[in-house]
Amino acid sequence: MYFIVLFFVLLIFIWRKWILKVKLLLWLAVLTIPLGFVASELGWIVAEVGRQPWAIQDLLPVSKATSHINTSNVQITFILFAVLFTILLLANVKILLKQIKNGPKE
Amino acid sequence: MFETLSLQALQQYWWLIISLLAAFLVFLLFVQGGQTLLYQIAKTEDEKTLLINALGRKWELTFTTLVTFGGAFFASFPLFYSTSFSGAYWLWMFILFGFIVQAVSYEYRKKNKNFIGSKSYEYFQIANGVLATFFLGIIVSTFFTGSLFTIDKYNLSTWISSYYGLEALFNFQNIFFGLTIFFLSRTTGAMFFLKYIDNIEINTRASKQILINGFAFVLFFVLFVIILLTKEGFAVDPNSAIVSMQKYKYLNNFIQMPFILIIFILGVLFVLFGIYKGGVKKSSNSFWVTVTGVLPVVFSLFLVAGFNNTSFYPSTSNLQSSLTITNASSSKYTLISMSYVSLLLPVVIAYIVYVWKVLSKNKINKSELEQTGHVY
Repeated sequence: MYFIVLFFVLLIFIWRKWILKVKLLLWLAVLTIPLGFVASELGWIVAEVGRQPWAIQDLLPVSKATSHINTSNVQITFILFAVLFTILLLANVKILLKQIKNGPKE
Repeated sequence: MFETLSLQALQQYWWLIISLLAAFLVFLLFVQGGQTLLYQIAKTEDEKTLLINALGRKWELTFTTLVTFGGAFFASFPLFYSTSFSGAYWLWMFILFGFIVQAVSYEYRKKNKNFIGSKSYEYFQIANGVLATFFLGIIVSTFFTGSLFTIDKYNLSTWISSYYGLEALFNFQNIFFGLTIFFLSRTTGAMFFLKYIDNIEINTRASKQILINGFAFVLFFVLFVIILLTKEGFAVDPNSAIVSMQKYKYLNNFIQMPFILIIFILGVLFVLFGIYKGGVKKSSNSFWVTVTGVLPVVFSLFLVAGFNNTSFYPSTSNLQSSLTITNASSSKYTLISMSYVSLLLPVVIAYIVYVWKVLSKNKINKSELEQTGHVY
């Protein structure tokens, strides 16, 4: 709901060419960036927790749907994913900060 | 339209589609092969940028085809998907990690403050090139050599080996086919550079690499084919569905399906002619000549693996757990629904052709790169 209102307001401000004059709105837009990720993650959690104990409702329980591999293999995979994606996240943030510092091309 | 087809016809239709997508995927692995040649063909920073930008305009096509191939396999033969992905776990994980680092490396390599430096992203591309080609080859080879799993009456699979797929590396035929795909992709990658990059030094080195990698490819491919045609195969009794070992099964498949044998032989001849044209004659047309051969060879190998009452994903732990296009397929309803979706396949192919044409109008060179706004 918040996104719909914010985007609607932003649209009007861009259309009326007021957007650069209202710094508060620009800051609000920047601070809103993480909320998209939060909404996405919460949506997943709701779906995954809400479906328990079923992978497919009334047909396949999650305990039967999972891969039958040792815990250590899953732990190794988790660590690999965590390390790799942390490196990529840091790279992404650094690149974005540099781009923001450079500003838009005139 | 598809409702009138029998379940068996639908299963065969879907195996044809899987085989076709596999053929396109192996052709497009030239991107991965090209990435592994980065330091062998490019000797200066400018040359390296040329290679990466030539591939950078194509890498998404391989990705799109890989996803389409995986999606189609999941939809049509879900029992293979669940068995292989959860069992041959580490083979698939290596492939997955290879593709994760590839996707970002094209975008991040030239960016300022990219945290780990340009060279790291180049190593990522090389890692993707090695992992994707070699391990995809290993997995496809297990279609002929078998894997260690069992499937119970509820279709729940259990992988017998605690190496979770890595045990496939202890089989010579698997290794030979992994190396076949690896060297084939390097050969077609070098041919791609010869065709689409306007730079004499790069073209000369690419031609040399076609010879070296082409020779290695032929060597491992011949070894793989010799073993394939002389070994026992996994035959399925069409009436009882009992799986048993049969001498010269794959050779018999070729003989009993002569059309497949003909396109296989024609494909091999095209590939050999392409290597000759690229390596000896230094002809830029070698790329398309070789691709014309790669497509039917891979297509025919997949057909031999799945058709003529053959198990396409055999189990060496328990023969009766082996997967066939009959017992691993989705229900008739799903196959019919998916068959309508498959009518969009020409759209995917048309997309690839269109994007290719738009991005390959002229050969890429240094001055063209300087003019373009987006450099990888």
